[in-house]
Amino acid sequence: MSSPLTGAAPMADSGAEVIQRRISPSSLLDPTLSPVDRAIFYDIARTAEAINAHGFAKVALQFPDALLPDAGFVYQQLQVLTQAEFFVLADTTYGSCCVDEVAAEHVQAELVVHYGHSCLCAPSRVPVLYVFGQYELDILQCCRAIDESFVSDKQRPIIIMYDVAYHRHAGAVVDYLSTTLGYQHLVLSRISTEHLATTQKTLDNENSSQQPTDACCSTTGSTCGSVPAPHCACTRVQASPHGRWYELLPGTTLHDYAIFYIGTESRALSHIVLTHSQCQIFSFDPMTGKHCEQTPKNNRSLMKRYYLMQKARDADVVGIVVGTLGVAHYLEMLHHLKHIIRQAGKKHYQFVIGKINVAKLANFMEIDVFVLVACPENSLIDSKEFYRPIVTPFELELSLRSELEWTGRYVTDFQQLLADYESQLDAHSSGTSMNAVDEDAPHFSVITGRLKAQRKYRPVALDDDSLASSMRSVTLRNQAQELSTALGSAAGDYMLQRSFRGLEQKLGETAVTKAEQGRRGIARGYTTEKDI
Amino acid sequence: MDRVTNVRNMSVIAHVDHGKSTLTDSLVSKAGIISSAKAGEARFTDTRQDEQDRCITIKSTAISMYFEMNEEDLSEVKQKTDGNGFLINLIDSPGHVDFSSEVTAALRVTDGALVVVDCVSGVSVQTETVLRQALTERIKPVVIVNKVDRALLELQLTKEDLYQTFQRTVENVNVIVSTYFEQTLGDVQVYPERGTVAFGSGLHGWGFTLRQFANRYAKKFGVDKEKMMTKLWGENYFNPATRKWTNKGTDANGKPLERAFNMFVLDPIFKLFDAIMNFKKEQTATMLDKLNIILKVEERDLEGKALLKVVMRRFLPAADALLEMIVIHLPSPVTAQKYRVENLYEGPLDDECAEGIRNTDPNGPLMLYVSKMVPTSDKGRFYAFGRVFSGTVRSGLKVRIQGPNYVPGKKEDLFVKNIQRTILMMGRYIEPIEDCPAGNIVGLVGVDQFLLKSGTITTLESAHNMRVMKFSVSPVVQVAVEVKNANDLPKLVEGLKRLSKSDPCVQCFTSDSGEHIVAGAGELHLEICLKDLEEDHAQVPIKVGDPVVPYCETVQSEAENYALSKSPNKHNRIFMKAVPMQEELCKEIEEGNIHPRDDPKARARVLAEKFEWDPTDARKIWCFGPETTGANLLVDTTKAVQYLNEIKDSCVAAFQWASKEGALAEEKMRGIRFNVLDVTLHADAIHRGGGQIIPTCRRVMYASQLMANPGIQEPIYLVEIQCPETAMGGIYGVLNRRRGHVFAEEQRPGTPLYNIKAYMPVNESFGFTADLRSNTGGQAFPQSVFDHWQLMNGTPLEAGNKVYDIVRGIRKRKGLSEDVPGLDRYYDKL
Repeated sequence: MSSPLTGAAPMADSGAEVIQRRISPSSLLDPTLSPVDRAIFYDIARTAEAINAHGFAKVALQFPDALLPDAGFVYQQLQVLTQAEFFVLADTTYGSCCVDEVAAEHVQAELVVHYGHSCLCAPSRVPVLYVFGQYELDILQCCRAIDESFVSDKQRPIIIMYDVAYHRHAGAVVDYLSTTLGYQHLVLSRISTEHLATTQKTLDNENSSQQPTDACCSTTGSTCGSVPAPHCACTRVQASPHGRWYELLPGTTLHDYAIFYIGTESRALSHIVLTHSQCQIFSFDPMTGKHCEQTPKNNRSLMKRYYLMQKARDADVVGIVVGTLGVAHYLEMLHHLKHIIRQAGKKHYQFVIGKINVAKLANFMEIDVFVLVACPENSLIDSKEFYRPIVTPFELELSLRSELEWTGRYVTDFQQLLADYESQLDAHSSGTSMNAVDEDAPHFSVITGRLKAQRKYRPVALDDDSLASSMRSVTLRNQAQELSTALGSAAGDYMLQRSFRGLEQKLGETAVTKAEQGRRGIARGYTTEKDI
Repeated sequence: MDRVTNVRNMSVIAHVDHGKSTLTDSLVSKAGIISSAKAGEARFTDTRQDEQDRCITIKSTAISMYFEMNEEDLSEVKQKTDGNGFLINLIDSPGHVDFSSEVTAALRVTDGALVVVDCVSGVSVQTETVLRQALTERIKPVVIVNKVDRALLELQLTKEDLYQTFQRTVENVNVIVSTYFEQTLGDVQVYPERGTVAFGSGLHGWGFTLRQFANRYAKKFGVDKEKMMTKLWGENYFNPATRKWTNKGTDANGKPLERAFNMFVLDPIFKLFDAIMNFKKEQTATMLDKLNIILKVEERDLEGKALLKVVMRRFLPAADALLEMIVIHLPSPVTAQKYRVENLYEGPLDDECAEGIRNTDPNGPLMLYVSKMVPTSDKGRFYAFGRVFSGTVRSGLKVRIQGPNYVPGKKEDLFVKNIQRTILMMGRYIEPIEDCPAGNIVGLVGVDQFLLKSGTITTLESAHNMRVMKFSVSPVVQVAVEVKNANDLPKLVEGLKRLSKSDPCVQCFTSDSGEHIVAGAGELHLEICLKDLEEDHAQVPIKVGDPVVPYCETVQSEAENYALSKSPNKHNRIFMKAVPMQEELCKEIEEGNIHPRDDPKARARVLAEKFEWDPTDARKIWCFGPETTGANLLVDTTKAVQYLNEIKDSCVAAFQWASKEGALAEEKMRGIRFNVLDVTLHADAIHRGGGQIIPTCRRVMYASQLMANPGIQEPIYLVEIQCPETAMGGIYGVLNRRRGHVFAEEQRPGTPLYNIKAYMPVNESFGFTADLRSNTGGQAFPQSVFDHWQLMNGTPLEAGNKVYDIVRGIRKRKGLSEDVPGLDRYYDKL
């Protein structure tokens, strides 16, 4: 898997590339695997148990492309063990790491079983069971890597993080480290493997206090057994967002910790690196057995994001791209974004275009910057190939609200962003008299080194009705035929800049000619093209 | 100030170390601002600490002075005057080539220039550059030949030698002046016999023009003053025996005669020098008597140089000579703006503003050009420094502030604001004033946040911009700066903003890898900028990266085949070819002679005639790029393609994008002409929208670039070095090591000094000055200024040459994969 911050993100591919994509043999399961092993890999037993325990009648099985060949096998196995009706979902609208709730709702599924890699975002509507697949991990080798990375500094507080595929082994790693190698301050990050109680609807027949305890928690034994409910964990415990959380040892802050990540280079790792820029981060790749420190690259990608943030600051028109319909609080986030964009006097447009690709976004040339509302792992898009940059909501917020200063902290979780905004608003309302600077003053664009004046798109005082009525009555056209200015519309302004507006009649300018033979043939090569 | 005819706006320009600031001192002391004893050492206009420490002017500094002229001299002034009080607004400018953008800014607001030339080293590189700039701005020059004391005391020249030196210096200046002759400005060559050349010593504070001597002798000989002046220069001899003037160097008997200049002008000076420096007390006393120089009691005991200084200063005060030259020969704003208006104003020359400028009308519409920003004591705020060309500016006036990108009728780069205060700039001090009428130089408070570096301020809605200044230096040396402490980042950003305001030339921007880049004209310029940034503007510790040099991507030959790319939906195809453009054409575009906003037909004619373009192609230039002004062209050479005008906007957008980030290393393109050969478009408008065309068009440009033997251009400095013959070996050695080559080497007539001109890649120039000094025992001083872009040998696509390594280096620095992407990423098969 290539690192998403250097290469084009898979989500940004054109459709053709997805179809033609070769799945690397390593990500496919070994076809010689015995059915028993296979059943273990897909965690058939746990899935069936969960379905039976909650009595789900309709269950959707969501597979990523790489695991799709095994859908039939899983289906057969589960059908034998449960009474439920199963549907196989594939080809999700946004990214295969997210739960495709919309597709699940099409079949009115009561549970989605998500296979393969997951970004662990809390889903907003449907209960989810995650099956990550069981990959092998050489625990001894891994521990040796950790030992080397920290030069046997056993007092150092370390957070162990891991790719979801290795979560089964993480407990064993910590055990080995603390007992055999004598590391004293280890914190194991945990992930939720289920979201069975996300909505009130399903909670009716469930006792919320009887949440199934997390699998890895019980294996480590290093912390107590009672774990807060996954979806509140994000806020209560010192946590990395999105279903990956950890409890810091008493009397320590995150700054004291180093992070060790088990897993191949992936977007999950990049995401952790970005959000934990204050920590030293090491990674161990079980596939190759190599380990390295992630810091310099981290700095580089942060700087790239910083550049994008500055670009967003120069933008006058912002396109909000909806890249998820599943991540919790995405709607609040959308409203929040619109709010801050309007407050900054800028114009926004909202897009729902499914999977993002270059061609789709380049159709909207009047947009200066896009902000992508998507799950954390998908929103960090390296937008080099895109005509306009794509930023995350956090970046947009930083760039729009000049009172905020970037400290190197990076937040991707919507809930936390919203909470931050609330608290800042409170802090701010106490001292609002700092607005001495002239509103119209242009700001210095760090991108171009020039001054950039804002085009203000203040919401017109007219409400929709009066606007419509003024449109129906005779509108006086000024010389430049700027009918659109009445609306203060960015698209209208842009239209005026174009050389081709599609509305020129050119009456009398085109000479009358006889009809000619036009182009013939098919799109892959017209007859006229042969002679070039 | 209200009597505009009695205002003189002038700048002092010269090569570095020729004594501008020192000379300015004598004027400042005459105006009573500093004591005369300090003059020549205080360098009042070097306001910054580092300027004083380094003995070099960095920022241009303005000072306004008031003088009164004798009634007698007043009659000499050949333009309209009103009373005998004169206001001189003087701007002292830096001489080092790295700061010549400051000179440009100074010239814009002045009408006359005092060109200072060191008589020992003569007309130097920077003298020529600034003089040329002055003339293109239609600034009238007068010359002072400085450091005559050195010629006398150190070189011990004879009178005739000294005359020859003067003569040569004046000639050299005139050669430059006549090269840039312009009809409207008329003959602005300088003539000692007309009083437009002075001679003197800034350090000692004395100087003279022939007019002063003519005054003395006219009475004695009973000749007309003007006639006397012409006699005192050139091939004019006085035969004391016959008391007759002649223009032959010998008398009737073939005996050599002494030149009148030597006899009447130099003789007394030489005698004084001789007497005083050789401690001939008696002789000194008689001479002083004869010359009516009365020394003060405490000065009588002085000896040698100290005495010489006092005596000379009393005998021929430099300020008098300068003042006279300035008042009599430099134009008043009223005179100057008549012929400068067409160079100053972008709009039609018959509108209200142009009329106002032409007539220097204090009641006309306000036209004010802000040429630079001067930091105030209040951190982060600036005075906008500029010149009122028309109308009157006063505190509280509501004005339109038009930035350089303002287009009449549009709202971009336009602010309507009140002027908070108007002030006079007085070197280190400022003085608030009520209002300021046309023709004066003024400082404004309260507009700094709306302008970055320069701009036009007006009251008239229909006013066009004043023409933007053209700098002779380009910011070709870049460094990346970062803060040591991540929390200081906002301070750095604010600092960068202040830095780019405070310097006319420096550029601050961010590269796409997120690095903050500061770009300057040369090493010294950057050094000063970074020091300012760290100490004044940002006030946080910063880390500075290694200097890097921008390159340009180009193509070396026309490809044999066309390039083709298909849109993502496979229904649109663009066929394109990249063709190299002539270097001359690139230069014309960069200098603005061929401009995107020209009339297409007129431009096509120029292209067809001068550059052998096909006339039909020449008329179908879609755009220039990058930034819509660069030296790359997108040309439509298709025939009868349907819907072509629909995709033009998309292609233009793609072209701007591609030409900003080339295929090789994402550097700017230069000198590439992209010919659109043919286009196949889907019949449905929705399938040929921007989304399909922009990425495709960008890809096909990259493909055609890669197919046309791509190359890299690097910036080249023109280096000029003045040195004695003994240092030449060292210079050649250093230049050779740095890939430089000498293309001109000439001896400066009458001196043991040589002038060497060489080209050297900017990339090799880091540490050049220090290297040169150490290799020549400190005898050689280089002046480097960006001259041109030069194609580097080799192809970036094959390993084993320098270009290949450079491209990989750039890609690595930018965080790209080191290999240049293959053609197959951009090229599609039919």
